[in-house]
Amino acid sequence: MFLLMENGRWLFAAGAFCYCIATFYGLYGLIKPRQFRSNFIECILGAGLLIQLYALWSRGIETHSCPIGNPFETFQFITWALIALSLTVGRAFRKSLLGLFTGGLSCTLSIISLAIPSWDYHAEPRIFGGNPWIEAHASLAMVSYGFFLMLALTSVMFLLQNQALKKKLTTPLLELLPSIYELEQIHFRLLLVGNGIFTASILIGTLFYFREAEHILLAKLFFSISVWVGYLVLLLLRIKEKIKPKTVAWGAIFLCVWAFLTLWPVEQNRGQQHSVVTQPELKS
Amino acid sequence: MKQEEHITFLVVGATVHSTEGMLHQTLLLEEEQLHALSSSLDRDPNVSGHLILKTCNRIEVYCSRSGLHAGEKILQQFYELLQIEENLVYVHINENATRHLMRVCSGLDSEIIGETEILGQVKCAYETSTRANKLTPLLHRIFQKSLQAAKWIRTNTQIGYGHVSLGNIAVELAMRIHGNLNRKRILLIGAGQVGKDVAIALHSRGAPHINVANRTQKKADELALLINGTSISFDTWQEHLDASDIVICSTSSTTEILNQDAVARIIGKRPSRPLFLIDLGMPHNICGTAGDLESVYLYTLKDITEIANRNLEQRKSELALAESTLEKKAQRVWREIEARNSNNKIYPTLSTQEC
Repeated sequence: MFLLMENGRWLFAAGAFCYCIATFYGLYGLIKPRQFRSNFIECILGAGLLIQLYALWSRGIETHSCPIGNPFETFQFITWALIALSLTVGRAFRKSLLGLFTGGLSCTLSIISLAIPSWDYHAEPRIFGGNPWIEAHASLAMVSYGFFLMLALTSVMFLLQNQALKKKLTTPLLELLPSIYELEQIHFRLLLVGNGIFTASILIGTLFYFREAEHILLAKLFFSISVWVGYLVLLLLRIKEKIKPKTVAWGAIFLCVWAFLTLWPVEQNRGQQHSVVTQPELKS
Repeated sequence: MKQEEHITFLVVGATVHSTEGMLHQTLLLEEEQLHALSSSLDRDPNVSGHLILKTCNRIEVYCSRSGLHAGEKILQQFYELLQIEENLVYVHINENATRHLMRVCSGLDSEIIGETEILGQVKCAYETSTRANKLTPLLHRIFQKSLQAAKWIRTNTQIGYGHVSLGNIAVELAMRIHGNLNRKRILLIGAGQVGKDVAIALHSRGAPHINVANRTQKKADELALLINGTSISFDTWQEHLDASDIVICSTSSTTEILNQDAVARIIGKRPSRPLFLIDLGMPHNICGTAGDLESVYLYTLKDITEIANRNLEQRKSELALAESTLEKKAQRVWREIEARNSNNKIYPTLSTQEC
């Protein structure tokens, strides 16, 4: 309990709680579709989003930088971006089914990040050295990760719908999923915008790299570029219509897993980049 | 004949099912005939209010009675109107009549269990009779309670689960593949009855571009006119394949008219646009392996029938729950009516003779 109360973590826990309620309400909607009110799920996700935004803002004020100074904050930032995105594009989905998926994933990621206290170590104030460009690089990358996470979620929906149609299955859940065509269109847009944001982040990062190459680990460079190239290739193949929507969906899921795995080398680089960063200290 | 007391609500009716199909012709009643029956009931001093429900497979007269021999008179008029034997007509009174109305509204008494159209038809008949001032407080109460009961049944049970008609299932599948049908192009090859039903269902859900090809050009022209589509020559249907999002094959051809290579060629040109193939032909018009291609969704008549049967089974499994619920609701409504009647004399109550 103390862990939750410390340093505004209870606010993040409250945000995760909202996402949990949205998820359970979404599941209830699947059982009792006629008693389901999609506005409620949007309201509760919106409340969670605002609480999380306030918590992140407070952290930002405290550290005088974008609140992505440790893995806990990184996860919270990505889940915030995911929910913000889901509330924006969720209108395309019947019965806020997207809210159920994004709420569930955000809730899970938030709980994981809250459950591992060592992730929330005390980051040095002005971790990005007060350079707004490198903060922009990091925050844009996190927002694009929100897009890629959303892309992976809609890819799962696509594969579910596709498999059910091929197997001639009909259930109420499948009727609530968007159509194959709509999901394919959503994929393309998410891929396009996510790539655009990530490319902007990479470009800013490249400028920083040329100025302070000695502070960047080669591993971080390699993994970041590999994610960027992966998504770019996927986008180009989709634009040229060289691959089928099902392949795009599998590619998006694979790349999302890969993108999240690369967060660890990036995190390790942080210690290298800021040699004066205090050692991780547990809040417990 | 049996003696009953406090009989105030009566339904006399017949359905195609109850008359073993004999009612089909008589249901083609002219509006004037129904007006004549209604006027006759208006003039009858023993009938205080009435409602006539006529659909494509049922005709029923609901009335509240205020006279001793109203039941007999209504029955007599009913036989004369329909010209059918007495034993083919059903009569329910009071609580049984209330339960019957609830079953009708909920779709439990329909040929296709759980169908929703009947609820709209009852509502329409109720509104018409209300506007014409033909209903008594008793009839108002029973109809309102029955409509509420039907809504409860549809919300809380799966009596209306899925679709069970060929056209609606095809539309549902099309929407799961293509979403909004407003900008989708449909090609119908063969203008038989089954294909026609599917095309009409798709048109009713907003599909504006339907090309119809049939060996007999006249039939294609007639169907195209009906669904506001375009009639094309049967020799040229292959030219329209590339632009089509949904292809319905319903010809009597004994060989496949669309093979896997042709489908692969079409989808190869537009991989991000799915293709929905509906094969309603017997024997099959489309090569079965075409459905294995990515972004191609092939459904045969057998597949759609299986979905309909699954949905119907699901509905039937809810029947017992729905029936027992309506039983309780009808009992409660009728007890309330009797209680009000004995305490406040709100509804006209008479000791009458039942036929």
